Amino acid sequence: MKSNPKHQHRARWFAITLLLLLFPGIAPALQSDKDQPIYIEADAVDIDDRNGTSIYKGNVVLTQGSIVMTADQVTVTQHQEQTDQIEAIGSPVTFQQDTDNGKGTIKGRAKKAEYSANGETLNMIGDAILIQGKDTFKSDRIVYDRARAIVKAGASAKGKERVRVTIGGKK
Amino acid sequence: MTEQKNLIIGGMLLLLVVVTLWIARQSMQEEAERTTPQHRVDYYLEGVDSTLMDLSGRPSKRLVANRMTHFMDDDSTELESPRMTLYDLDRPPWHVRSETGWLSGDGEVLLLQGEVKIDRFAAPGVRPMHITTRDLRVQPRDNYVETDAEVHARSNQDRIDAKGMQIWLQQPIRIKLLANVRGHYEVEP
Repeated sequence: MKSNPKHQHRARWFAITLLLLLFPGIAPALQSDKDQPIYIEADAVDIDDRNGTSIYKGNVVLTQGSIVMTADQVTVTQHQEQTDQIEAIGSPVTFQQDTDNGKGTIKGRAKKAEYSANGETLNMIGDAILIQGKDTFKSDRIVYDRARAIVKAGASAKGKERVRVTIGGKK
Repeated sequence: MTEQKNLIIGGMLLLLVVVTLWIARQSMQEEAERTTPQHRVDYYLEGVDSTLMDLSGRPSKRLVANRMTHFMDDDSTELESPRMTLYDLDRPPWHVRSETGWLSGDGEVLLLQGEVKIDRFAAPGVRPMHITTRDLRVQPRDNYVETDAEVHARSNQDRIDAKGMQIWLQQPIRIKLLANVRGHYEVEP
């Protein structure tokens, strides 16, 4: 008797999420980072007033608290009474964040990163990698909780699970 | 002896030719100066307020100035404290003001000189925008604006500072800040 693929898929997700939540070596990050002002430096910016987008281009560096992100292009989308949305694309986008308890810096990279200015979750999409010390997490898509420095989920963009966690491996 | 006389006479003749040429040249210069048209005012207006309508009869642009002075020789116009309003169909208008203005005779170039302020106030669903810069060059017929000066843009608590700006006024309005861009966004917890 074949088992239900939907059930299998759900069970696999549960296992991955559980593994990630228990992932050792990941320390709490600066809780206040998500409430800090965002600073962006770039060569130029295109402002589309009607769509509420500001597209920063050329050697873009975004900082928010201890978070530092570099990208080829960062788009800030703003609408009245709504949270600002940030989308970074690059080859790659690089990301780093300090942790609270002296366990070092979390570093990552992906083709694309997106998050809400005051949100806890940062999505890293396309050849995403997160590294802390000797621990590495690789996936096509990583959902990272930047308030707690926890990798919440990883999934393959191509539909097949292909998440690789290396604990204490070689850098 | 004869040779010496000839040399003196020749020298005097040469001197006469040089002096004659110099006098002729001086008088030609004076004449040129006399015939150059002076930068003369042929009319001026005070308390100017003009509105340009679009094809459907709605206000499109409004110009208010303390004084408008027109020059006869090159057809140019100087403006004192110009304030322009650029109307938008369904959003609040843009207000542009500067210390002085200069419009070329052919109407191709409008210089907004000194400190320039560009404001668009908030409305439901529309964020405010306040831009401060200097010395704008406007091409009215192309709906195009540019400056090389420092630019400071503000919208609510957020701001962007940069050097140099281009604006395309054709709807929808596009603004490009050209160099040394620094954005600062406040985050609501």
